[in-house]
Amino acid sequence: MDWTTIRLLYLSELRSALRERSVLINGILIPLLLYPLMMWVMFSGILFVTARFESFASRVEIAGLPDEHRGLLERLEEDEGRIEITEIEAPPTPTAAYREEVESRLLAGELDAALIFETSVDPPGNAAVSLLSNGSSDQSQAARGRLERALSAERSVWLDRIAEQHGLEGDEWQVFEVESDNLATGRQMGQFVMGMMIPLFFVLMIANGCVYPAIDSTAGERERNTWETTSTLATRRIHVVAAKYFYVATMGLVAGALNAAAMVVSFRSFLGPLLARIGGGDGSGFAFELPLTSLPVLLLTAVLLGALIAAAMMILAAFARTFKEGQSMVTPVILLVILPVLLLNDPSMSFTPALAGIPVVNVVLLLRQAIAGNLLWLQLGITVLANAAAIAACLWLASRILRVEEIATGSFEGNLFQFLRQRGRPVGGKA
Amino acid sequence: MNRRTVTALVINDLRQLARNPRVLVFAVALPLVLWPLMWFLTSLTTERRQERIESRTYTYAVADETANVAGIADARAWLERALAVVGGDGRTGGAEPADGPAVRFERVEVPDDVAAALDEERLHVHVAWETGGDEDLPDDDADREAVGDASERVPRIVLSYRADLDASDSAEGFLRRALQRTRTEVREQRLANAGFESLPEDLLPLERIETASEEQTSGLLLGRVLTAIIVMMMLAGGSIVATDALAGEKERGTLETLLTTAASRVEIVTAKNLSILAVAFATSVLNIANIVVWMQLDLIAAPAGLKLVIPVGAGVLLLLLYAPAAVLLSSSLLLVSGRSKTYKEAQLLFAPVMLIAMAVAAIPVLPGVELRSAIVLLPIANLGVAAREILTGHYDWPLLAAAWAVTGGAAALLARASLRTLSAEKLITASDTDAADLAGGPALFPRRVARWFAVLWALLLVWQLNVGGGLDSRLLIVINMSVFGAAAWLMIARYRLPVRETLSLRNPPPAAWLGVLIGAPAGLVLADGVVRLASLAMPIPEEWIEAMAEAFGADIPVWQMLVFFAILPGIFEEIAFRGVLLHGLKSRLRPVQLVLVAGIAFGFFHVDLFRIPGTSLLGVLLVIAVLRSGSIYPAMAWHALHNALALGSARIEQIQLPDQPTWWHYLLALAAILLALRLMRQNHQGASRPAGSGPEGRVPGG
Amino acid sequence: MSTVQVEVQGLTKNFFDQSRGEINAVQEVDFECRGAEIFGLLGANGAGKTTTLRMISTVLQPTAGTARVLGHDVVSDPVEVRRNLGFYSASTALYPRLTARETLTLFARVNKYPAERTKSRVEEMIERFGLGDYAGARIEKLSSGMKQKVSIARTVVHDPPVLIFDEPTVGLDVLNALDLQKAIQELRDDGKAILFSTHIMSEAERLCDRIAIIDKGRIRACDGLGGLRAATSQHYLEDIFVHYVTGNDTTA
Repeated sequence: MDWTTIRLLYLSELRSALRERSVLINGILIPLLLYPLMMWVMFSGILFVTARFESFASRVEIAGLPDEHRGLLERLEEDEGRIEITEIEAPPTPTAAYREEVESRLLAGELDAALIFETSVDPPGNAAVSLLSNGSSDQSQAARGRLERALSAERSVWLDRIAEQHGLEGDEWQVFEVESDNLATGRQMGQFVMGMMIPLFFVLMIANGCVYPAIDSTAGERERNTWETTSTLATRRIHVVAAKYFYVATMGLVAGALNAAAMVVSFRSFLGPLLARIGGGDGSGFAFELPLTSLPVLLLTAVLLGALIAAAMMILAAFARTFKEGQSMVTPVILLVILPVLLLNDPSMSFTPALAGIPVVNVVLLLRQAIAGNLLWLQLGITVLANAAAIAACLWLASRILRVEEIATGSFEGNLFQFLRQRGRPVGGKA
Repeated sequence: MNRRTVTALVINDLRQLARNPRVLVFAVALPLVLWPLMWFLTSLTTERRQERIESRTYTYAVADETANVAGIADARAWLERALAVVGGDGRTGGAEPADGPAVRFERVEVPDDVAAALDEERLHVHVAWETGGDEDLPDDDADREAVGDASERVPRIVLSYRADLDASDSAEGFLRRALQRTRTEVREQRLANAGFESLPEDLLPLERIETASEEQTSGLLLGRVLTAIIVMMMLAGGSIVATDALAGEKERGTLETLLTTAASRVEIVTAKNLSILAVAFATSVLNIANIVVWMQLDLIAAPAGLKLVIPVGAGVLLLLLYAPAAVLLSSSLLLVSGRSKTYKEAQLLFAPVMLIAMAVAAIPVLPGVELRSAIVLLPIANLGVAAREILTGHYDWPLLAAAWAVTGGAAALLARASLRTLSAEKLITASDTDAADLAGGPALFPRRVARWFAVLWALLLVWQLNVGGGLDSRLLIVINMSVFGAAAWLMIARYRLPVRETLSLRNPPPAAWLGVLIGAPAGLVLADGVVRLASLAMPIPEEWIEAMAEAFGADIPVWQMLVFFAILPGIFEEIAFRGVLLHGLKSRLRPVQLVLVAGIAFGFFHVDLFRIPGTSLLGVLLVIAVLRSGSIYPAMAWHALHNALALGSARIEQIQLPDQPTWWHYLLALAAILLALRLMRQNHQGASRPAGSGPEGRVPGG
Repeated sequence: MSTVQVEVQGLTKNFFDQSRGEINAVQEVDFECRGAEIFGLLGANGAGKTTTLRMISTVLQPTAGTARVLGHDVVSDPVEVRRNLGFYSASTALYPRLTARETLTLFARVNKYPAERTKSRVEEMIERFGLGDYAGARIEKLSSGMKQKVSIARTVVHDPPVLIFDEPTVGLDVLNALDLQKAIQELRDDGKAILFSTHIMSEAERLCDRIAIIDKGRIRACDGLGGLRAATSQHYLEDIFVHYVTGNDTTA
């Protein structure tokens, strides 16, 4: 191997890639900006929606409220600032006509929700409650939620009162309390969330980062007619291909690494505050920090995945003569990468040595464990071996393919599968 | 327009597509298989997870039972009772609990190190006892509230677990729910023993009455997402033809052939639009049919509770309603295709079009958006909201017509714009290489300025949100301003921009200073109006206002407030935005566009959603001030004065804006602004003499 | 001589480029072309030939001046102009996935050739250009010579009285170029008015009835070959061209 030449070609590929807009956008800009932007939009969006919901002024009507439950009104006025209550002194049994009238006002949007109490005999103060709302209106649903919460609180307070009247007090009524104590630290919680998301997107982004370089350095060269220039260079073809391969793998690796970094940053900036807001806590529940031990694993897997995906894509793209053809030819690789992403979106899945034998899948699971702070050495070893074997197989296939004159010059018409079928026959015959 | 010509062109396009098996397979056939497959796999994963959770054996340990805790004996009995329901001590739970499946719980010895055992998953939940009513419990603990109020000497069962470990998290959930139910049962029993005859669940029994029909409630669910789904399918389908429609033809050289035929430009654009629409419509129908078939085969499940009955009338109305949206989408795809030189470029540019279209189409998801609001002016979004209202049974005819007309008008505008791409001579003649590209320097800057500011924005965003909150607001300002200054200096140095011209360092007409004095307070009033107007559409949460007030905290001395929040931004933000950015954009945009783009860009740099409207207005006014006076100094003064007044109005009661300003306040402010901007006008008889050396006039570092 | 078919007066085209400023591609060009005449525009690359012809074909809009095809103005009546015009250049490609017959039918229809005669006209073209065996094959499968024939057939399928050939022989081999020249001569004999641009002297010498020498956007001379020889007292067109381009250069 002539490493000087390979290095030279590799650097020139890399330089031209950094000047190509589509490679830059797909390989660097998207992984870097996608998550921060996505999460900013999500963050702003959720803020916006919750603020809208809070801002709804609920127009509610309460009819026939028994005197025992005046507290309900106070609670509504206290807890839910934005509420307009109309109270109706209704007869003990509200007429059907009244209900119909309320329903029609609800449907017309003049009223958001209504509570109708029908006094029953036992125990005193009890009443059957009807909560009328309109499921086709957002305002009505917000109003219904507020009334339900207030009513349920009122019921529990009343039950306490009843218990007191029956002589049940203190621990006799409280019975016992349950308290849940989450021993996971904020860091561990953050690592759990990151472990669920980062490996999956990491794999996808490496694939995404490889696509353009893989097509551009094969089919793109043919389209631009630079392929012939390159093949007249005073070096063996395998060196040219090796340089291109290293370049594609580098782009994948860079995309993956940038993506992981961007995700950690966006988690810290957006997901943390968002979780804090949703949970209503002070935000200390989550701390998004990658454990130091996971960094070498991240790097190792980035190298393995970059090398594997680049090899697979270049085999397929080698057959393409135009950029468009190349795009459709590498699609299967992307699909193969998306599949594990779909199947592994499950925190209850454990990383067994058997699973470590499946390329790509093993990387996702290995990373998940590493981010959670567990280094599983056996699985790590199997993962490295399995991926190395897959890379070797791909490279072997690539060298077989590129030895064929027509493919190297781009005059072969067809894709990998047609090629294998064609070549497979005479070889099989000889054996 | 000649029908025959258009038909011939459409048939030509469709024929080309039909003969391109690769595109058909990858763009049409593959998604048909892939989406249901993904859906299926996702639900499979969920199912498997559920199974795994239910079939697992969970371990628990119970802490020292001889501890001196009141009521521990009872507590033990309740734990036993709860475990019997979920399945304790190796037995599978007898009866299926009402609120979940029966799972196996197995008791293990209390390990020496509970935390380590939990970490290694030898143990899933640790149960301990305490006497309740301690002070150390936070009052707003959500878990505790669900169970009951603390009172003295109530035994407390503490479940220790790890929320980040799946098994432990599930185990805690099962156990806690079982304990809570046990508690309710015990209470009911005690109440009955005390002579209370009714059951607690008979107290204030609630009946929920839904007044809307099932179709209407489902209509709301569907109406929220229908537009987004349709827009997505139309875009995905339409882009198959659109990339080829103009960009592909350009690349292959057939566009010029077409342009020399007797087909008029209008006919060509119409034909291309029709081809895109035809394919988009066909693929959408295929996709919907595909999903229906999969649902019929029970391979994917329909969302629960969704009852879809769209009356024929509403269906026809919806089709009619979506027609201009479809034309709008196809026109925008065509426009992008027409503006790009190659197939690759067109593909790249489709991404932002899709993002914008999807964002607009998602607006019906927002709660409580009504068509009878400003939304009727936003194309596509208005039809989405209209569709939502139709599906819930509301027909607001005048506004439906208005929405239809607005989107239709936008579609017509875009179609006209795509018409122009055909006569844009640059596309046919000018070559790609450009002297500016080769030489670099000032000529290249206008094309790069957007990139620079995009990167700057991203940096600022990440920085502000990551570190911002923890810093003193003064330090934050200093850092932000240095970033602006450094970026301006970098751009000036990198593109060798002429400093004086770039930053408009000229003496303004003297009247401009009077303009500043009038303009800044009036601008503040107007900005207040814009914020109030915007808050109608996006209400500002109370806590945000409090947070803002805190950020400009009262503990900072007045002079520091002025320096940090008025003077520094006045200088550095002006250099960056009204200097470098404005200079870069000037040669590329027409005046109105320039003012809007440069102004709103400034607004977006105030990352916070609720600050964008007001600061955008300020940006617009300052851009006009610079353009009219030909000098940056009045804008600097205006900016500083604006900030100072804004701070003052928040701090000092006397000059606070009236709580309920009336329309004439704003009208007055508007008139004052117009006057101020009028005063800014440059005196062309020699007033543009270069400025001497105001200390703030120099470029930082340069 | 038959009637004037193409009439160009004071035709001017200025481009504006963001970085290079104003470019005067064509300046006040006047000429006319009659039926059964081949009018040649001879000039170096970038002299303004293609821009002139594109303005006549209405692809570009003139900055000033007028051009008329059969009395139709290129600005006010572009569709009528294009209907009476066939435009051929090395950059007007064909749809690769259509067959030759489909291509001809498409362009006949798009150029508004009478519907009832379209079919017979297409078959006539297939016969005339010897495409019979290939008429059903997709263009992408044809050899470059065959593609060129289809391209010419596409140019004339709607029977336009005026034809424009913009550097048609660029990139063709000798035999294909000769074929093309023969076809152009035949079209002239059919009575078409033909505008022909080239930078190859021998081609202009052989084909053109009248030649306009164009340089830096201006016409330096316009006459028959005999007239040009008399005016410059040079025999070879190459020398005549050099005479006008270097000698008369007063504008620089």
